[in-house]
Amino acid sequence: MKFDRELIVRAQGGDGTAQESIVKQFSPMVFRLISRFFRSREDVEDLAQDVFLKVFARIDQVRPDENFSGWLARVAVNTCYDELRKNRRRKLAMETYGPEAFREASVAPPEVDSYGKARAALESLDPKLRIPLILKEIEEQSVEQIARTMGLTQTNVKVRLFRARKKLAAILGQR
Amino acid sequence: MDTKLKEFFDEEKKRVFTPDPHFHTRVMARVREARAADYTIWDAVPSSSRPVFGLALVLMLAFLAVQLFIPQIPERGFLDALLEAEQGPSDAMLSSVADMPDQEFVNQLLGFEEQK
Repeated sequence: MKFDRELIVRAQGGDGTAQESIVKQFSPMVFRLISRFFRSREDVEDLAQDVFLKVFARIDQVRPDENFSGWLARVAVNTCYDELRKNRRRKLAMETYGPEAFREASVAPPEVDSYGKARAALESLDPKLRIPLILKEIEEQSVEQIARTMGLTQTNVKVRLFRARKKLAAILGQR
Repeated sequence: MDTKLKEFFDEEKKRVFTPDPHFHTRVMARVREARAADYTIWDAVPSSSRPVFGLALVLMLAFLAVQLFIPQIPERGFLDALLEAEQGPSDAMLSSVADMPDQEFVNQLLGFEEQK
């Protein structure tokens, strides 16, 4: 923790070596977190780079005594949320206005393995519900941690988790 | 929760990408690029002299604005300027202030006129 504090103070002063050390130290965590929401390595790498660019652009906002990894996780999750929303909007636009072939393909996604149904159901959830569910079930975070990461109240997180599970069950029951 | 779904979540826990050894180099290259793009003339001024520089800039702009937007007082009026183009040398002599006869001579001339 002390090491982190000194590193952050140096990075805030524009020290490139300190910034590089932060990337080296925290990139496995950022990669792991983004991997939960995106399936291609290229997407994960691009988003991880964006996360660190945002971190260094706003490093002045970090209080050195604050939990840096928690703040970083919040930046990473917010970046994923923005990207998931963008993808969802793009997909909806393509389904509504895109070519016929795309519309048909998106209605019946191909099942590549035995978990195809579950994966498709999870991916069809709104990012607002999908993110807390993934953080809870895959990242094994507590409700309190999720609330802190997403900037929500614990009650709000519980409500979202309940709705996500219900919706997931409904989608899987239909198929 | 559905067993299949639980198995799927357990499977997803194993699916993790890790950064390659050159990831930090690529990030730092992008950070430097972003910093160079953000560099303005303001960054070239040392932070201690920024208030002085700022004040000087504001005063200079204010002076320029005054020079540009407030017109100078004209040396001659509109009618003078208009008539000047049409006046010949003899007409100019009539309206010239420099060659005006003194008041006493004017009164004498006026006296002659009244006597007539």
